Amino acid sequence: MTGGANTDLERVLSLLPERVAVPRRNGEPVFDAPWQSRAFGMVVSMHQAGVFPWSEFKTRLIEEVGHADGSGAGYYDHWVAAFERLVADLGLFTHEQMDGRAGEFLRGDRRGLA
Amino acid sequence: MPAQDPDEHRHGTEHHWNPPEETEAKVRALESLLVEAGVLTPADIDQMVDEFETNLGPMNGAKVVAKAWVDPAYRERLLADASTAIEELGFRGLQTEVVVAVENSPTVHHMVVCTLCSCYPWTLLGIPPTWFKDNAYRSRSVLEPRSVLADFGVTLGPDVEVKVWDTSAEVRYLVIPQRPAGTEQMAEAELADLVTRDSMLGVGFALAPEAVG
Repeated sequence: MTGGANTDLERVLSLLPERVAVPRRNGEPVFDAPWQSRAFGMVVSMHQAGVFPWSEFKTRLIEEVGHADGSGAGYYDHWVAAFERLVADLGLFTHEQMDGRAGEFLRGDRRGLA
Repeated sequence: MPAQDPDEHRHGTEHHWNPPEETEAKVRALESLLVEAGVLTPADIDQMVDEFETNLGPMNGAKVVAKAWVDPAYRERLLADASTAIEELGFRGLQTEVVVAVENSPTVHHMVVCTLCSCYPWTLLGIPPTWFKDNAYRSRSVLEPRSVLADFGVTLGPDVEVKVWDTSAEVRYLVIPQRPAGTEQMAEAELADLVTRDSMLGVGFALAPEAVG
């Protein structure tokens, strides 16, 4: 990993407005659970691989946070919802495919990645 | 799959299966689908998370400050040529910008502002706080720095001179905060934990050792 990519990561994160900014404590990232870091890593990796421009994710994240209904969903719940919509909109997978796979994990039919 | 005792997961031992929360299940679903499709690999994600957790944020700058506190020769080099002294510690990404270190003392307090844009020493301090890019912070820092500092909880005696440094695309500033009292016995790595982002922008002090336990 070069210093250039490092700077790009900082740059794209800095483009997120305050109300949808990645949670940090004293400037350091805060993940409350491993899945949050996986969700973070997937989005940023795919952006850096050129799968989508950052603005496409940012727009959806702002929408998801804006639609928050007070149900107690946290920042990374919105992050994941935005990512699912982006994945569907990019034509990678349908919501049915994603929900079906999630159901396998919820029921325990599937536990690992394989 | 072994038969599931419905109460097993409550015991929380690692041998038992704990059903994931809904969003966690979605994340696992996304990762498994994307990996299967060859869009990314688990290693890609690991690398990004690792970079975010270890290479970004203010700890790089904090390490520079802590070294300057314990190593007088390094402090001299840092004040003379911060870009080179920072590279000594292996922090990259500084090739295109000159870093100038300014040291706070009982009589001089430095703070950093960028009146033109959001120039910021990324590699040292991580992502700039939103207020750093805020027009009010920029203009007030130049016009009434003591009032801005007070908003951050930094109150200075009238005899302390306040110097405001305006960053640019060419020159970035790193404030070396004063070493807190009672830290004489602390090692360099412990000291780095006391150095906050705000203290390196001059809108805060380094933490007292009690604050980090």
